[in-house]
Amino acid sequence: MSTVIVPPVETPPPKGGRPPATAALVGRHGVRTVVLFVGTALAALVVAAPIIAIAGANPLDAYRALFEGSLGSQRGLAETLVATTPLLVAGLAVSVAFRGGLFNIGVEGQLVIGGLVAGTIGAQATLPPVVHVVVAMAGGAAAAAAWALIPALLKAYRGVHEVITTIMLNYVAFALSTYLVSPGGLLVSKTQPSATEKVKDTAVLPRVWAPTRLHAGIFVAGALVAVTWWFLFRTRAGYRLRMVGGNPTAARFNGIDPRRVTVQTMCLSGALAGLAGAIEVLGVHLRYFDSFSPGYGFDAIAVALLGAITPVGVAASALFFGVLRSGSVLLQARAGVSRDMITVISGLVVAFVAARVVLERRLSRKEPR
Amino acid sequence: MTPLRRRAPIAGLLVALALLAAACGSSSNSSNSADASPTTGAGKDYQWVMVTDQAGLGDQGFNDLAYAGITKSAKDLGGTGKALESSEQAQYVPNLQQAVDDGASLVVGVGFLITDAIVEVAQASPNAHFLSIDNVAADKDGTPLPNVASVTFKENEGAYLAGVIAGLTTKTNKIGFAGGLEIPPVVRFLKGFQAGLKSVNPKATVNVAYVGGFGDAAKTKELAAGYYDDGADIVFEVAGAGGLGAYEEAKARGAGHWVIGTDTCKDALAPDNFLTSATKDVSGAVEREAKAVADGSFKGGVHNLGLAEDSVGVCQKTFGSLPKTIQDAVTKATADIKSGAITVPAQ
Repeated sequence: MSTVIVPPVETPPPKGGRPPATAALVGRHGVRTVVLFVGTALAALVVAAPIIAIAGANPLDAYRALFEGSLGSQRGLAETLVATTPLLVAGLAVSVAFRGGLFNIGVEGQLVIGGLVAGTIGAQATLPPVVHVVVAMAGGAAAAAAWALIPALLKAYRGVHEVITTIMLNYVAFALSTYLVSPGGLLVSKTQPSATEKVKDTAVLPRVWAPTRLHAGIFVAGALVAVTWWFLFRTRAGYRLRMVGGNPTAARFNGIDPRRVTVQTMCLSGALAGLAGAIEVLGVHLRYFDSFSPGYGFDAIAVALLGAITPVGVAASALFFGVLRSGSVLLQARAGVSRDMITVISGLVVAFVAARVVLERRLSRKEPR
Repeated sequence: MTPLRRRAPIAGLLVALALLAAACGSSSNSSNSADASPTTGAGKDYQWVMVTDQAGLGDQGFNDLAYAGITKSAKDLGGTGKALESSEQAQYVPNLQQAVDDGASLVVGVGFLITDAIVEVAQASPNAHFLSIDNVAADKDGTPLPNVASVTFKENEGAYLAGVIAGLTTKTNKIGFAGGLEIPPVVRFLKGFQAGLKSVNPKATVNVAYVGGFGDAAKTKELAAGYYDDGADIVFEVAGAGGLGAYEEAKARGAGHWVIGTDTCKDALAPDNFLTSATKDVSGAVEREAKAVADGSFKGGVHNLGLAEDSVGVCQKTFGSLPKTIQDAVTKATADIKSGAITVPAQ
C-alpha cells in the first residue's frame, strides 16, 4: 500500500446549508460512519482469508495470531499503540487538509522533514530535560509547516494544484534528507550510516509502560485528536477552514479570504505531518534514520479516508492499521504467514474505501432532506 | 437512525463474505498445519531465527544469504530455521524481541540499519545469543556487547583478488566502480580492488561513483552505461540489489563488456558478461556462529573474517573458466595474503 490516490470522500454540501459530514460522535452520520468503518475493515479481513488459504496457511490461525499478537499481550498492545501513533498523527494531517478542500499528498515529505529537524535538534542542541523534547518537536513541526508553505502559497496565489506540488516536493524532501545523512553529509552520524547521531537523553520521548517500547508520543497523538476536533468544530478558524473546503466562493461572499485560509490549512497540515515524524524519531528510533518511514504519509491517506476524515474516526482507523502492523510479527512467527499478507489486507481496505465512495453517494442521495 | 433497509445490502454482503471465508477456512484446516514455513531438521530443538531488513527474503542479497545459512544450520545441527521479515524500520525491535521470546538459540540480524535495534534487545536479554553481520553492536561507551557476535568481513581481501582478475582482463585499462553508498564495507571493496588492480596492471585506472542506495537498478544501469560509453570495459558493482542494472547494461551491449559482482556469484544474470565476484560468505558466517552456539563455544565481540577463514574470495563457480595465467595470479595472491606477504589496504 504505497501511493493511493482517491479523491476526498466528501458528501456534496446539502442544499439546506447544513455542514457536510459533521463530526458528531453519535447520531445519524456517526452511526453510518461506524457501520461503514467496521464493514470496510471486516470485508477486507474476510476477502483476505481465501488469499491466506491459497498462500498455504489457515486463515483462522492467521487471524488468531494477528489479534493475539497485537492485542493479546502487554507487549503486543504496546506495539500496536506504537504503530498507531505515526499513522494517527499523519492521518490527522491529511484530514485537516481534506477539510480545507486540499489534498495534501506531501504528508510523507513533510513528515521526513519534521523527523530530520527534530532528530537534529535532539542530537545537537543542549537544553534542559522537558524543554529539549518540546523544542525538538516544535522545531520539527515548524520546519514541516514551512515546507508545506511552498505548495500553500503556490496554490493560494498562483492557482498551482497542490496535488502536483506536494507530490513533487516529496521527492525534493527525500533527496534533501538522504543527501544530508549520506556519507560526508552535514548531519550524518559517525557510527551509523544513513542516520543522524543519537538524540540526547533529554530529547527522548519517555517510555511510559516498562518494559515495552510504548512512549509518550501516544499521549501527544491523543491530545492532538482532541485539539484537532476542537479546532475544526468549535473554533471560528476551524469553521472558516471547513467553509473554504466546502465552498470557497460562498466563503468569499461571507467575508472570508479563501487564500489566507488555504495557506493556513496547508501549513497546519504540514505541522501535524512534521509532528508525526518528530514523534517517531524521538520516541521510537532515537535518531533520524533516512528510511525510518515506510510511507506513513501515504498510508495516512487511507487512514484518513477510512476514518471518514473525522479526528475520532482517524484515531479508530489508525488503531486498526496499527493492529495489522504489530500483529504481523506474530503472524509470521507463529502462523508462518508472510508479512506481505498485511500489505494485501491494507490494500483491500483501501480498495473498499474507494468502493465506499460510490456506496456513500448512493446512501446520501436516498437520505431525506 | 438510519433505517435498517439501507444497511441491509452491506450486511448481506458481509454475511456472504463471512460464509465464503468460513468455507475456505475449514477446507484448508485439514491440509495445513500451523507452521508453514520453518524448515525442520533432525536432532535437538534449536531455533535459528533471522530478522530481515526491509528488503526481505528474495532480495538475492544479504537476506537470502543469511537465510541460506539459517536453513543449513537447521539441517546440519538440527532444530528449525525461520525468518521474520521486517517491513518497516520500527519493526526491527519487536521482531528481534519476538525471536528471543520464542526461545531462539541464535538471533541473526541483517542489514546496516538494524544495529541500534540489536543493541536495544541484546541489552534487555543478556542470556540470548545474537549475530550481527557487518556491524559492530556496542554499548554507549563503544564496548562490543558480550552476547552479540559482531561479524565483519575483510571485503578488501576478496576485492583484491577481483582486482587482479580485472587488471589482467581489461583491454582499455579503464574500469568503473558503481558503489551503493560510501559506507565502510563498500569502501573496503573499493580499496582492496584498487590495490589488486595496481599490483598487476599499474596503468589501469578506476573511476568511482556512488548510486546513493542499494536498491536502485535504474540508476546503476545508467552509471554503468556512462562508464562503458567512456571506454571502460569492466564495471565493478557494489550496489546491492541495484547492481542488477549493471548486468542489464552489459548484457545489452554484448560480449567484451564485463561486470564484476559482489557477495555471491551472479553469473546467471549475464552469463557472457560476468567476469567474477568479490564474494562474502554471509551464509558461512551464520553457520559458524550457529555451530558455536551448538557446541557451547559461542563468543560475543567482534569477529573479523577474511581470506584466512575462507570467508571472502572470488566466485569459485566460474573461476575454472578464467584463463590459466589469471588463475595462477589469483592463486599466488591468495597465498601471499594468507601468509601475510601482502597486506591489503582497507581504507
